[in-house]
Amino acid sequence: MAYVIVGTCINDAACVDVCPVDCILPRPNDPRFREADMLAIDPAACIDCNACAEACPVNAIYSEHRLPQALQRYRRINAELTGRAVT
Amino acid sequence: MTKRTVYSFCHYCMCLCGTRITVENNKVLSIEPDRDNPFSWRDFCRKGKTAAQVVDHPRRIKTPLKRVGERYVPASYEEAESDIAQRLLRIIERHGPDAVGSYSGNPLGFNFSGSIFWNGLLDAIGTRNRFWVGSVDQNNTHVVMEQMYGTEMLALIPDVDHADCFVLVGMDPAQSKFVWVETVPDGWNRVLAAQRRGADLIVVDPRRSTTAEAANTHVAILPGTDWAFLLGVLHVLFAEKLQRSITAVPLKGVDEIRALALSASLDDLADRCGVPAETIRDVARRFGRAQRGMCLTHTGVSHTPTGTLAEWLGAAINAVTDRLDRPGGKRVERGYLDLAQIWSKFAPPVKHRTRLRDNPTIAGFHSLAELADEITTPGEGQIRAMLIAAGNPVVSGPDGAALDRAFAQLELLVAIDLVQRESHRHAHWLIPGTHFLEREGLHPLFAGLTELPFAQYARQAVKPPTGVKEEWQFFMDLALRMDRNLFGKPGVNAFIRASRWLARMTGNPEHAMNPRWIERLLVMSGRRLKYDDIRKHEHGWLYGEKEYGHFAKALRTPDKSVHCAPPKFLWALQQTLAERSTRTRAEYPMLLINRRVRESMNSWLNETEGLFAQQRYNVAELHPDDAMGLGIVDGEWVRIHSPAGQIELPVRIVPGGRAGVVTVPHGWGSAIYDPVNNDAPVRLGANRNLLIDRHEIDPFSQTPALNAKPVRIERISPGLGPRADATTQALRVEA
Amino acid sequence: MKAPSHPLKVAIIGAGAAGLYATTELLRRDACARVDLFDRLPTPGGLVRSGVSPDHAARREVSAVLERMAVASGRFRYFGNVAYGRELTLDDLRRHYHATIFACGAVEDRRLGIPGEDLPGSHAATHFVGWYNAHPDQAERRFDFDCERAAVIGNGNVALDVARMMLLPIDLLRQTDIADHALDALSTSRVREVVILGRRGPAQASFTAPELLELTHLPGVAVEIDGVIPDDVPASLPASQRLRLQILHELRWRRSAPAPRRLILRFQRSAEALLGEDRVVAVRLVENRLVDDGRGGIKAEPGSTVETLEVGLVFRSIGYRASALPRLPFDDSRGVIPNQAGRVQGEDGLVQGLYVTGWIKRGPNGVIGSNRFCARETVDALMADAGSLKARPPMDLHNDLPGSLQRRGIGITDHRGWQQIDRIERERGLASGRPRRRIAARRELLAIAASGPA
Repeated sequence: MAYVIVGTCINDAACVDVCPVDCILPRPNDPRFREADMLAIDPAACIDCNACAEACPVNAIYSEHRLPQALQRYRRINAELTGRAVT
Repeated sequence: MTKRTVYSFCHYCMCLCGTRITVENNKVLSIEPDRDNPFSWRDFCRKGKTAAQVVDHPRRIKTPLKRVGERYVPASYEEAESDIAQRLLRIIERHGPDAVGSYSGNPLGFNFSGSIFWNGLLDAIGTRNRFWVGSVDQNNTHVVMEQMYGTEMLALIPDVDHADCFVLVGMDPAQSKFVWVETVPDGWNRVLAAQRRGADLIVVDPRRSTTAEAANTHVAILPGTDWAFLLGVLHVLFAEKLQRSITAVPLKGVDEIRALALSASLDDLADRCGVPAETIRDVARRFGRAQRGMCLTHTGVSHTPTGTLAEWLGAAINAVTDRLDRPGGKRVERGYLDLAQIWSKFAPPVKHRTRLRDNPTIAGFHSLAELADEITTPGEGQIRAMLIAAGNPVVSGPDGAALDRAFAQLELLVAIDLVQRESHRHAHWLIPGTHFLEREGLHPLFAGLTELPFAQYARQAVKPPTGVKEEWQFFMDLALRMDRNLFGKPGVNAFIRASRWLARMTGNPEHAMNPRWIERLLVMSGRRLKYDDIRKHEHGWLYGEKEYGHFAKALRTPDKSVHCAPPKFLWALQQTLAERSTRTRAEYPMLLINRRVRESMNSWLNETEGLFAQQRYNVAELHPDDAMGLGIVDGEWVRIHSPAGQIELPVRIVPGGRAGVVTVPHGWGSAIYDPVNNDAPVRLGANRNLLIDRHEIDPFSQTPALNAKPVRIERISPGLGPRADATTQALRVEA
Repeated sequence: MKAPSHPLKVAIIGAGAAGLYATTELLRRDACARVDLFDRLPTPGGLVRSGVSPDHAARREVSAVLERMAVASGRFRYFGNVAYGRELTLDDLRRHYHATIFACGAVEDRRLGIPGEDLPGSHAATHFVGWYNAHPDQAERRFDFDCERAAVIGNGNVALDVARMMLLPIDLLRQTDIADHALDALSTSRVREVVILGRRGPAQASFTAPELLELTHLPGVAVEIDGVIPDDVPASLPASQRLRLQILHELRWRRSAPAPRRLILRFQRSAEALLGEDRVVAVRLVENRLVDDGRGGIKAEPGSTVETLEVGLVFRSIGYRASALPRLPFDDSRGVIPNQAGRVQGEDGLVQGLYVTGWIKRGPNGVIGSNRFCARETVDALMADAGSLKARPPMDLHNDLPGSLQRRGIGITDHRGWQQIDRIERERGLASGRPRRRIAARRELLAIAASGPA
């Protein structure tokens, strides 16, 4: 299980600031941050703590198992964007 | 020096998350969860991640500091111990040992060596005026354990994976994780997983917490009335014959509690707790019919004047529905030593009654709520000196203003801590504390509190600042300096001196008395594990499987049965049923409750820069209807009044939950002083416990009523202007 | 002991994302600083309120979150309906504040510069966006949807927003906070097809992945791609870019269910002229070749194939543009106030006490959250200058500028007034089953703001 960022993301990285395991990519100091269409959570590193979801100003972060049907694709997208093999 | 990796665990809360610490040149570079820890790491949070910031606190006390006038000057341990010893001895000589009071906070509880030698020092002094942080939250469980199971130390562990029904009362594990006295790692996510498999999740909480949001049913109860709700559930269980006979251990008192529960009217109970009778009936049926389940009551319950009754009723519900020592219910983890036996034999809790209110110690300690009066009320036995170890009672306890005034009149106040906090404002001596990253050791008392058979020896990640003694060492040296036997046992000091001589002679510091000896002895006493084997497992050691069937053996009641209806609880419940009063009144129409914030650990971490990346203050959460009624907008500052005091803070409007309730988390508003440079104190947020009356306590647990406190809210910033004194609540004081 | 200096007083001009992020950043960084945030509209939010598409309203929440953080500091005030250059002069600001941060954004649209651009039926996308979002300055505009096909020129997210607003089922729009007048006008729309025209290829388009992904499940809309999409997405591309191409590829090859309306993304097409006598009836397109621009990029070069596409509505959506502000330097070629990491750069060097953030500082690029980092850089600069700013306190530090503006009879909307507007909009929405019903008329906004509880 992991948390998932969906397309509503506005890249303000409030989630990055609160993540205890630094699993949200790219980080603001990464040159790729500027080009990123959205931020993503590394599903292999996420520990389901919910902190990012609380911090997100636009409610763009869901627990994987509460991800609405229409947004299911973002599970894969988060994995892809963080360079994880898609499960 | 090269980088090295240290595996240990976080000591901030009972999650005990395994950590992987990267260190270079005695500096922590990073702290991550240790995913190879077989027991716990999934609850890892920013507290653990930012722990090194506390080690490197800019205002850290790195040498004993002596108060001279309004300033502090550095001193050697030699001077400190000698001065403190002399002053303590003089006070003892004139007023007796009970004139020396003590208070220990949560961090000392996580510091096994510190807490053992703390008790040793207090025994050396001979004082029975011991106060501790447990009296502001968990005392009620100790009282209920003692009454029902015959020992204050028999924490039953929730078996979350196998439950079909959870009734969670006054707890928010989505924030606090699944810890109470005991710990269930990753417990909240495992509850959610059980729910996905079909388990029923019922959350009883006045506010719409994250936990409540996830529930199948959220019961937004009137604060402070959990007992009525739980009695209602018992009523329905008995009335509808949903109780079961217990299989694991004999039950006593079922008839009495049945008679009392049935004698109460469900409609009356429903009315008292503000929950429809239909809802209570529904919850009782769902719980009663569930194959396996548990009812849990935590801090939201214990912080009320009826916290012990509610805790008892919750435990009774489990007992009469056969949830004890059963899969999916609550079980005993036997650990690698017999905690209750150690408790009673090795460190028998002090039995004493307070001078003024004649209250007994609970688990060996008095209630913080009584401390201020014990200091300020003249007479024989008045407390004239205080030792505070890793504690901030002015912020953690009720009516901190009164305690602050009390501390001001002490002849001697010694604080042992990392930084000078609110409670140490009047300290005559500030003694450096250590951070858990700087200590090593085993905490044998966690055995039996961890969900699974697990042991981990914590490794030291970095060395304390040069010259800083670990707490245990300071406590021991102070006892030696006072020439009063550590642990109050004749010969101990001579033994310590001899061991130190031997260490010097052999050049092996291990030969000098140290806490490892005690850890080793305790492990040996359990005859299950070898101390050295524990030490070999750097990621921690899961040394066995989850087992059932240990409850009967662990019970300490003389008749080896669970007492469902302790007479004094029965009597008190009858009294409570006979009374009829509402807590609110016209002048104070709202009820104040508390909440947990994952990143906050009571009063001791909130100033850590990286911990609260966005909001470095606490807010008052209001229901939209109440906000509307008061004309308050989101973010606006309000003043909250109670008969005890007033505080100012911003409002957050939170939909859901019960109207008429205002939620303010505790632990905020503590000053962090700068005794070295004398810069302005940092103070973040508001101390909501200033609103709490120190005289209103749960009669059994002596826990102050931090919840369900009647208050009034008023707007303070109408129109254009900002708050005039906004800067006094500044997030960061300019250097 | 040092004599305590007066806490920093900072004015921020523009309450959009840039101004709000600068506000919260400044309040967080300096625990004593006070911020007065001004906006020319009664309502804060800038493009978060009047740019974000109604079907993406979740993103609007950011502005409320930032406002709340600011208000909770106790050191923040909001003053709406006060425009720099209208009620507010540079002298005013310099006299009352240690520093001013301009965060006015970029509100003008970029023009195509082709014949027929000013024909009726040809519009700036920004005007349309403001109109359907109830921007007071755009509320009076009229758009004629009495045609089958519309074209949007430009290949960014705004183009997609514009297209969706014309294509989404009206019942779906009715569940959003779209302006009432837009809902009325769109409910009788005859538009059945929207063509989005991009000069370059799919790989160069600047639609972001989430917006493209949305196209895979637009209700009632079939999406077609007219362009060449490589089968193999090179692994060397940034992850977001790869994702965009993947989704475009899917859109290209999937079989869409029949739908009443169509969205066509056409690539490698430039509009050469808008055709028509008294209104637009067609757009003349030229097919482009993609060539190396010699700087590692790809540029479009017009080829010889020309075609005419019949359309009744054309929206140009090739970007926003900032305009010069009175008495401030302006770089016309880049459309920004020249600055060094946020410090305004005049002809004779840095201008003491003046800062910029957001689009007026860096040009119209990035997403909402980019402003947080833009603001951080500017606030870094301001904090570094704080000592010298405090050393030369402004003349009228102790007189309140908003107070004196009010005495001059200027109708200011303060935060409470805005809260009142917000509340009324939500209440009206609730009554008609919508998240909110927005008020577009400036006069009504001001009247509501003034009516709130004191």
